[in-house]
Amino acid sequence: MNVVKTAIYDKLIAGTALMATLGGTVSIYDGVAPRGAAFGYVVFAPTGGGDENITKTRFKSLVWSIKGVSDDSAKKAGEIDAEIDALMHGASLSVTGWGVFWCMREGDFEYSETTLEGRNVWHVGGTYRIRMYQT
Amino acid sequence: MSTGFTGSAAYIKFGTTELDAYYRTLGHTEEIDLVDESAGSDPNKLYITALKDGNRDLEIIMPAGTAGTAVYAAVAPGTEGTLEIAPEGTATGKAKHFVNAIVKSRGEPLTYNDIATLSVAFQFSGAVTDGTY
Repeated sequence: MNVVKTAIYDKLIAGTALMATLGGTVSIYDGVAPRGAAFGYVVFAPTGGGDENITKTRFKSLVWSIKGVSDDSAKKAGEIDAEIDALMHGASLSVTGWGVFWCMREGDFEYSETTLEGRNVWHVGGTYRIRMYQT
Repeated sequence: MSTGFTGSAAYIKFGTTELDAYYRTLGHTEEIDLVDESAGSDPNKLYITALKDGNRDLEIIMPAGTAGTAVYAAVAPGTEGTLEIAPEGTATGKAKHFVNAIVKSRGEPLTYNDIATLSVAFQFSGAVTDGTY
């Protein structure tokens, strides 16, 4: 849902501490970072959920993955994740056309990869449950 | 061939307040008192009918903000009004049930990690009128 993407992006970009961990650049990407994007950065994407179909009024329960990515260290990726957590856990999101009544972190993950160029990259993040009703 | 239906199109109104937008469940009981008239050498119990009674229990998701305030106020205990139920909606030919009812109780239980609900118990106070739109 694009309106949810917009709300998450707006929430993250407003976080001055998060921006500081990203070196002051707006390195927040939808789904995937552009090729050659400077580390560290944030990637967010929908990973589950949908309509609840519990009343005539439309309710959605969505799960979004938001992570910090760093080629410096897991610690650096974790610092980005901590700032994301501070912004998102318990956040009041402004989603156009919807009333958000729940935005909570409910899962943690961390993994690493080695790129074809031999660079180690760390991904540290969480999954966030967003529950909302149509207004 | 007839088909079943769900409660997704149900219309629920109490007084002037429509309650179906956030409803989740609506219970329903209608009954009649029976008076035992068995006597003497009757081999089986015999009954005569007496007074009818009925009630409905409604559970809705509590709307946030002023919408919730309005719904909450509309179902204050002791409030009396017409309870109109249309199980399949209000299209022409669909069933409708009217009855004068009194709010016997309401409750708003809260759970930290789940959505707030409002439960309302309606006691019928009068005859049920069944018809169609």
